[in-house]
Amino acid sequence: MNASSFLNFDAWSRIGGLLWNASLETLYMVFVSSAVCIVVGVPLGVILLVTSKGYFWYSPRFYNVLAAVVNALRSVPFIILMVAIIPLTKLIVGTSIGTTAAIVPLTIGTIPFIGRLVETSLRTVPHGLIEAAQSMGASPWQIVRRVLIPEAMPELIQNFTITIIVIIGFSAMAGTIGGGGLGDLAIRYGYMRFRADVMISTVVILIAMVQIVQWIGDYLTRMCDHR
Amino acid sequence: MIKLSHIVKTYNPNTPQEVKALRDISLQINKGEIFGVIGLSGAGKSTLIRIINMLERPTSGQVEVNGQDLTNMSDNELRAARRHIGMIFQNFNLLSSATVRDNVAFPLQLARTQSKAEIDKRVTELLAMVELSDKADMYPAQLSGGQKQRVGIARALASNPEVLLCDEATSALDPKTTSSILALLTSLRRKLNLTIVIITHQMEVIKECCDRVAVIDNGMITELGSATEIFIDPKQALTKRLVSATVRRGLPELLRHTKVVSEYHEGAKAIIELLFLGPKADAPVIVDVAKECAVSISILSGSIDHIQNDPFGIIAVEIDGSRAEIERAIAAFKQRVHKVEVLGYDERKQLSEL
Repeated sequence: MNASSFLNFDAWSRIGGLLWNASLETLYMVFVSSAVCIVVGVPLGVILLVTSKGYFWYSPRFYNVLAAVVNALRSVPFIILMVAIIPLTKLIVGTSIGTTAAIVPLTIGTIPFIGRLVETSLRTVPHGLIEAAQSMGASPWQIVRRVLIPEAMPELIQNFTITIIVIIGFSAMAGTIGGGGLGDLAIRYGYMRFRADVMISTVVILIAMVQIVQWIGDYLTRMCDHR
Repeated sequence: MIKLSHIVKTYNPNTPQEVKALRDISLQINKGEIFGVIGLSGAGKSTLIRIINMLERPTSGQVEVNGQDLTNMSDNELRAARRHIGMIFQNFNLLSSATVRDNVAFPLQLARTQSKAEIDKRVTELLAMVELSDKADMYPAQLSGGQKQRVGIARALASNPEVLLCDEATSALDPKTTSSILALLTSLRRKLNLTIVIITHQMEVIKECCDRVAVIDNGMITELGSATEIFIDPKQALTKRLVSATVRRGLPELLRHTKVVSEYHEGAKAIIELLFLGPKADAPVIVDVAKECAVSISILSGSIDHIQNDPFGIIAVEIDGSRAEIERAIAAFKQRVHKVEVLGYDERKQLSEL
């Protein structure tokens, strides 16, 4: 990198185009994966909670099996998981290369993570509240829907924020196996072509994304926390 | 109204962690009554109150509330039955994420039998009843303990229950707030013809509002009677201990360093405890007896208190005179007050003579 490359508007507009497209790809991956993760992860967390000891559908065998699967998936390093599930990715998306294909490992890698976080968040709801709801004739579903989730909302939002930030990180990794996005750009241009300006730009964009997600998360947490 | 028959509750049966929380409890609580259950922590009282609305299922025995046998109900029937049994808690257990209004509306929303307008109207009514109309849009975190418990009461009464269960409902409150909550419960009982069951370890609570009391120890009812009986004439050691926490009985503090013996000897003074109760409590008994018998009476300690609205007093006096006159005075007291107990004999000198 030298001074002239920084002042070269032509080069910058080309890089700008690359960065813009890569950012959109990253946002697409992160958005879709986060949405799927939350949609699947919340019920997973709820099931983990209500089948654990002291809750209304306590079933040690079911809980232990589910918890073991969740733990196993969580222990596989993401980069290995990504490669290992290529056949599954092909089955679902039709290809194992590209942004949409990257969503499959991102989702599968993160669901156990968010499931556990949801379980822990819901566990912070005092048992007395469940008991109070039961004394008013609430059904298990009503307890989940109207007591556990609203009461744990601040923790849930904090944990969703953490999850989205983890997905942003993972999405950069997905770039290394042809997933596209900022990680892909950073590797191909920044690393392989020694383009420090590209490398720095991708890192700056990623930092900005993480910051914005954290700000939004913190704001929403404050909004729904009345304790 | 509530009938418990041979309730047994064992946790972790047939394991090393087995705990016998309740051992064969039978109890009948009448309609419109405020019934207190008192015991030390771990005595089984929390389990007992949770058996009444089946938050805990008994290991064996039968629970009947308002003529319905709760023990053999399906989950669905039980949920419906619980709507007729309100419950309030030591920690209030309000939803922190919902406003006061939404907390009170909660049981009605769960029941899904009323329209939103009907629920709103009922909630407004309930908040007025517990004097919290101005706090409707606040969150529980913004309220004091007493206000939170009022929200708890409004919520528990939302679906017009016949029974209200209070699980240590005043244990987290200061004495003044406790009194105001108990006064509210007493007035609601009359207004709504409620049957109230109060679990507590505070004898004050029993004294202020209970009609009848069961003392529970180690999973068994050791004493049962009207609040007055329990206070005036406790039989079991535990009951005596509990009662002594609020009503000082026995030898007065003044005699701490005095030798007191149980048998009369020449020249001794008698120390007796007089128990006044009800309408007789304000009669000029001591003066009358002193006039009638050739004795001098000094008051060592005394207190006049109320059980619910009945005045009762406990006064310890020292009687000086000849043996015959002392005995005559004791007999005269026995005719006039509820109970006379001879605490002992001493040869104490009057403080003024020293």
